[in-house]
Amino acid sequence: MEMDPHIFPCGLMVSDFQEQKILQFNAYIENEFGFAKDSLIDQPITALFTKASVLFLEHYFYPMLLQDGKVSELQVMLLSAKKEPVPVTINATLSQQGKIYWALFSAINRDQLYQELINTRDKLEDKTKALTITSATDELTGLLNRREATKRANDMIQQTKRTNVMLSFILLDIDYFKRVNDTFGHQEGDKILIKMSKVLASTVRSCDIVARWGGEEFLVVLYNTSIDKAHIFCQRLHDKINQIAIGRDTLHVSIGMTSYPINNQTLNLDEIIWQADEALYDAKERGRNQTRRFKEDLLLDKR
Amino acid sequence: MEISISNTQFNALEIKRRNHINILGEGEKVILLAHGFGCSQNMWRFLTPYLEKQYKVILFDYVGSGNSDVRAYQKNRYSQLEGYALDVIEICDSLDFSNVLFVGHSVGATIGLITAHLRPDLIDKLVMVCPSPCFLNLNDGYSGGFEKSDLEELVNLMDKNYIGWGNYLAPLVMNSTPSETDIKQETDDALVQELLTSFCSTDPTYSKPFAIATFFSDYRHLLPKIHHPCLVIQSKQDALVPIEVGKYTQKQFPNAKLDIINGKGHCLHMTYPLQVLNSIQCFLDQTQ
Repeated sequence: MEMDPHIFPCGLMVSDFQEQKILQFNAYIENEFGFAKDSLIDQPITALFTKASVLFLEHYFYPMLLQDGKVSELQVMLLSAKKEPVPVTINATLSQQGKIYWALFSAINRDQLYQELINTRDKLEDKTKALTITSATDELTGLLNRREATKRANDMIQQTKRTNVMLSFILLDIDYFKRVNDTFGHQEGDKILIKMSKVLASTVRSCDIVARWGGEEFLVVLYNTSIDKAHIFCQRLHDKINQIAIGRDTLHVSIGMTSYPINNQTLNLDEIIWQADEALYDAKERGRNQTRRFKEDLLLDKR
Repeated sequence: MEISISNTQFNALEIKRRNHINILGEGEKVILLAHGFGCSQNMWRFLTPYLEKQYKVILFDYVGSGNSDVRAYQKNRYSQLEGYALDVIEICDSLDFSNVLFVGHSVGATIGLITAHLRPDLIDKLVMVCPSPCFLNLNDGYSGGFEKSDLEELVNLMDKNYIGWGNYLAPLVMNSTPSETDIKQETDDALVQELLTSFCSTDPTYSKPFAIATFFSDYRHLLPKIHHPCLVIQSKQDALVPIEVGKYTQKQFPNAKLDIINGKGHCLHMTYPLQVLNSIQCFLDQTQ
């Protein structure tokens, strides 16, 4: 028994690879997409697809045919006789003689399902992005929160094991902040925190970390920065912060800093922060509004 | 999102690994080759045997393409072409190169344009192979060749077929290194060559943002601002960049030359490498 290609419920077509012209097709293509009998013979294959689909065929479908001799489950947009785009799924093979054998069928429902999947995925991506930002950010100041800063600082510390990079850790604490809150109220205190954050964010580079570490305490980690350069950076911070007005006075901060790694010593984040905190304590002890570096003798003083 | 110009002293080794930098040749003059969308530094392999005789040739992959370190991928940064230009800036800074001859293919040329704008000191001359400052037809009279809906459909097709433009073509491209005779017969089998070399890429996670940044951007406003000597190499028949776009680009630059190569396709540096080399050489001689 001979099979009649015209009775199959899917489009069958033969085209020439080099000439890119349609040689033969079956009744499904005429009926499903509204083409008159034989009207497509010798037409360029590009006439059958949308512009985007033609680009897609040229840059994906043909190279794949050349490489593998076949393509399966490709989804593109066919142009019907009325020039309406119809999603189709295509399987094709390339023969030794340079003929392409196409099997295709309209895939309207499948396309809708894909579209829904894509929309859902995009929505999920957007939501995840929003949530990631929310979970990493301090609500009041917009800086990184303590959790995110801890994560990123740990990543940086890990990195120093592979590369020869020096990190400088800076802890800042606003001087007499309680007095600001008591005198001007918490709302005013919040405004000061926001102004302070803007100064910090505009002074660091994109590769640095800047975070709200606690109530009126901030952490800055300067990437690839020596302690001397970090000291100059802190001086610049003092200058900028001293321009923020509170009532008739101006804002001051105390800063403690330390660098890592020193003398090939391996420390974890807690230990490094502890060093910066000791230096910060030293700055407060010495009358505030200044920067102190962590030194080993700070330990000796205490003992 | 604003991307600041890097003032960071990055670790040179880190950038080298991140962007898979390869340096060929010993010449004094530095030539930086920037690949386009859906490609990698591999696409330059027909030019490099000739270039490395005279120049120090810098090859690299943008983060998210080729053999770059995708751990360094940041979606925000690489969702606009400035992020890719920042890769170029960081590469030059980390290697301490300035005044380079920049050769970019397709969107790589636009990335060079952005780099020349952000950091004019890094670039001496700009060679653009099949560039388009904007792929869109816009209602100010400009025709980039595509309606917005065409390009949206294209990105949608990438999504639905879940590919980063034939990512699995990469091995094939790598295997088909042509011999000298192949290159001499370059025009003979241009169609097959063009198809085999057209696109190779990475994961759709990285190629989709690059596709969107490439196809929906408009950098025409930068053209009049770039006073560097520029060469626009245009293909006579390019499905992605109509010849009018090449002419437009040349006219908008204050100081540019246009070479139209009588060929087909969007990857002239692969299908007609000798003509591209010749065009670059003439341009360099004339602008000395």
